[in-house]
Amino acid sequence: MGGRLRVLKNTYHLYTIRRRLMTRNALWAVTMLVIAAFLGAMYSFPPAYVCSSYLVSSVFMYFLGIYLSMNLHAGENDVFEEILLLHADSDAAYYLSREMLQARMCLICSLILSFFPLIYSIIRAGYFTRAIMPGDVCCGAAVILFCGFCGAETGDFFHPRFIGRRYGICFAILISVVALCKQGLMETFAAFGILEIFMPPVTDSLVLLGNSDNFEAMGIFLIVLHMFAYSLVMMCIKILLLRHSRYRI
Amino acid sequence: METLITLENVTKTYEDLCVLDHISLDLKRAESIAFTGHNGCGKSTLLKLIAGLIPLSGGKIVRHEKIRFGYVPEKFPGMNIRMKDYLGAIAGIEGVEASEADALVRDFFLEPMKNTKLHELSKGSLQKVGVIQALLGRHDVLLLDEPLSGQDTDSQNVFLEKIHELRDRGVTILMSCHERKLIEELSDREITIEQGKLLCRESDEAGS
Repeated sequence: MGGRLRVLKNTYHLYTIRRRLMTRNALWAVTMLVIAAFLGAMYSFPPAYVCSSYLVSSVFMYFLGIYLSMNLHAGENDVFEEILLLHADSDAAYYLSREMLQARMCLICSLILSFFPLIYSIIRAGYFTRAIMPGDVCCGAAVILFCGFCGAETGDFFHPRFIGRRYGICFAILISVVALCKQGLMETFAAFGILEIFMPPVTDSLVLLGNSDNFEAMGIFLIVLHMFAYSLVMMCIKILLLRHSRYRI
Repeated sequence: METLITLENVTKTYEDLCVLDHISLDLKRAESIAFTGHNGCGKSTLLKLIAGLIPLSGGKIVRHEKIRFGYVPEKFPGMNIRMKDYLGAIAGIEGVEASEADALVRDFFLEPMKNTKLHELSKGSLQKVGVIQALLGRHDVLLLDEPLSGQDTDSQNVFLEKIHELRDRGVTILMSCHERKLIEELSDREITIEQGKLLCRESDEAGS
């Protein structure tokens, strides 16, 4: 029990260091600007459908997650990280702290994207085709958040410790494009059915929604579960690779 | 003295360059060794291999028990975090009171700069922060890579005093340095790295 407590405590302190490094960081400013630009463009033309607005935001959040994670790991200093690894005395605390920072950034961005439609519908009555219900916000927020996690883990998977940055960006884009097109690929070539397992389920919720403007709770829950599993698997494989390549040579 | 770490035929190559060539060495508790040699001979590489920060190209390093390493890098990175916040968090990780970090900051004459971000500090001040973070907590082995680089005389004296205290506590000190004063004052033996091999000065025999 003492050991676990120590790991948690160390994770907290490591996370504090990482969080403070992000204070007044240009990455936050750029991210907020990008979100503002997206929301400005997205909600310019009424009327808007409630569910598809949320799901388009979720696709945006996926790419934002990639952007955030790739910028975070590009900003890592090898010597600084080595020192943190030695102090942490526990790989778990060190890697958890990285994930916590990423998750926090995704959470903040997701909250903005999730609550903006609700606030906007109050300020500008009649903008949406119908009233936004609490269930819409819950389902939409869950999809947006977990799409963010999927994007963050996809981007962070291509860490400079084991792959050059240019190749990392290319692979991240490749996976994203395939994930966006997987429905069409699977319908055209049966062999691509395997993509259902290996690709992030970014567009699954859009396929589930179809022409409707109501979230199907159980369907959304299963998609979110798939996203959670994808993020977890990517995270575990990434951590194994990072542990093997502790130092960027 | 008990052996803490054993290096057996350790080799490290970077592409075509063999930096360390089948070196073997026993590192004992409370021992103090200074690694010397020309720039680029592999001193920093050896320290990082011992700490497990970089992978071996050949051979093995046996740690006979769980070892806590403290590490002063050659160039401590200037990051976007205040000195006070960074050292406070490191103190928290090491399970020591924040007051211990504050005391070290005062001892190294960094009190006026404690609210300054690391990337705004001078080279010498930054290196002092690198030393302080390594002195926080209880370590078995302290790895010092040119620890006095850019530091003023008073700080150097404080540093020597702190290292003597650690030696009295049985901490193993491994340092890479060029300063003769540091070598003579702190080290039990001096090992020169030359063409990938170790040369122990005391006995004038090749260390492997």
